[in-house]
Amino acid sequence: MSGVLNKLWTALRGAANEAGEAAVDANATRILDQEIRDADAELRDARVALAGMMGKQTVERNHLAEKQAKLEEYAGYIRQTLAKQKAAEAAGQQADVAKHSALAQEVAAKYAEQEALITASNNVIAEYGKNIDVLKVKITAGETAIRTLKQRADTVKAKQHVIKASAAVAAASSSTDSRARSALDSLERIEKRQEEALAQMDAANTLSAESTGEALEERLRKAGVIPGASAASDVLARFKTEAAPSDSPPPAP
Amino acid sequence: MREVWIQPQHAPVLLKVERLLRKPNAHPLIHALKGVSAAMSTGPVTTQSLLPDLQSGSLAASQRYTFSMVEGLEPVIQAVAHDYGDVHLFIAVTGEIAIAQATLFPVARVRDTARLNDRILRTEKLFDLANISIDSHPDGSEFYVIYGALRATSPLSDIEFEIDTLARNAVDAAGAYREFVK
Repeated sequence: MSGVLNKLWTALRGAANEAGEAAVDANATRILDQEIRDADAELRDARVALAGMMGKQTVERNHLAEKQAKLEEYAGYIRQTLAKQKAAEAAGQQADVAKHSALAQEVAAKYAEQEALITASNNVIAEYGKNIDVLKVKITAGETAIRTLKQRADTVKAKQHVIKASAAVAAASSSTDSRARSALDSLERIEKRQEEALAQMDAANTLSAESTGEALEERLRKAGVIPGASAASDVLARFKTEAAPSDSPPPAP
Repeated sequence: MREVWIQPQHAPVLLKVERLLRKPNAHPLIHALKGVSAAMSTGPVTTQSLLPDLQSGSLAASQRYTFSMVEGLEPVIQAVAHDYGDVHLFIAVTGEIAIAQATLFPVARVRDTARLNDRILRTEKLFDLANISIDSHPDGSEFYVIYGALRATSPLSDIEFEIDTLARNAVDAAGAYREFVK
């Protein structure tokens, strides 16, 4: 997997040095597709090897069964020969004893030979088993790698489609309505709408205030036509002029 | 006792499913299986098959979104998010992957790309389900974009959720990084 990324980085560096970085995406697709093909071929080989290995193991298992049957057969011969040898000994037939003893010896040698063959056969089967396990792990890893590669390739391709479409839409829209295409433009649009909404609310408040007559009263008050808060100073001034005579010392009696 | 006919290599999966189905809270699994069986019965999802689904979905029904097809060599769905300043999203499906993407702003308008990139790397995690990248248009112009990827076989509600989240994130991201744009 790191091999793929290395190739991508190399392509990226190459593209950066060369014409434009738009080449990166195209290269990524090409490299990923090639990797997928390679990984697919490897996986196919591994599956063929696994099938071959399992076939060989089955054949070897059949051989082993034959060898074990042969071993049983020899064991039977040995027991029979020994029994006959014993019988001959009991009967005192020395010639037969020697004959059966030699026969038992011969069959025992065959038995030992067969035992060695069975051990060898078991080793071969175990060896096949190990290879089979390794291949199975390799196949699982290969399948995961291919799935990951395909997802990456899909993502890169989907990205390219989206890029082409946004470029096409941007090129097709006139300079005014292309304002709507980026998120920044949309954000500005939203803010403008909010400002307009606020301005509208202010205007609506003004209108409703006027319609209830408050605005007129307020204007009259400001003009001093209707006494309001501004009249307070007038009142104070009036009191001040009223109090002015009493400020002078009272006339002497 | 019940006989089950499956491919022999799927036996471990069946065992897992069986164990999960014994639990009283198996609803998520059942829900997921419905989505899977829908996906398997209707064949692979494509950009073309996704458009009518979106047009009859909840985002379009609430009139918050308008979906249309941008025809081209590779068709792509254009979504306009009316709640988010009519920001344009583009949606494409290839193989197992569906991608939704919005343009943030042109690279050419960024005052200091190094500082902006640093800010993006530190803050991108705030925008859930989204990634930010730089894309080159065929004419060579470059753009900061925000996008989300998900499995094409996801239920429509998940795809709609992704689209709605992306539209919000796009506008929020534009706001978050606006100070770097001239």
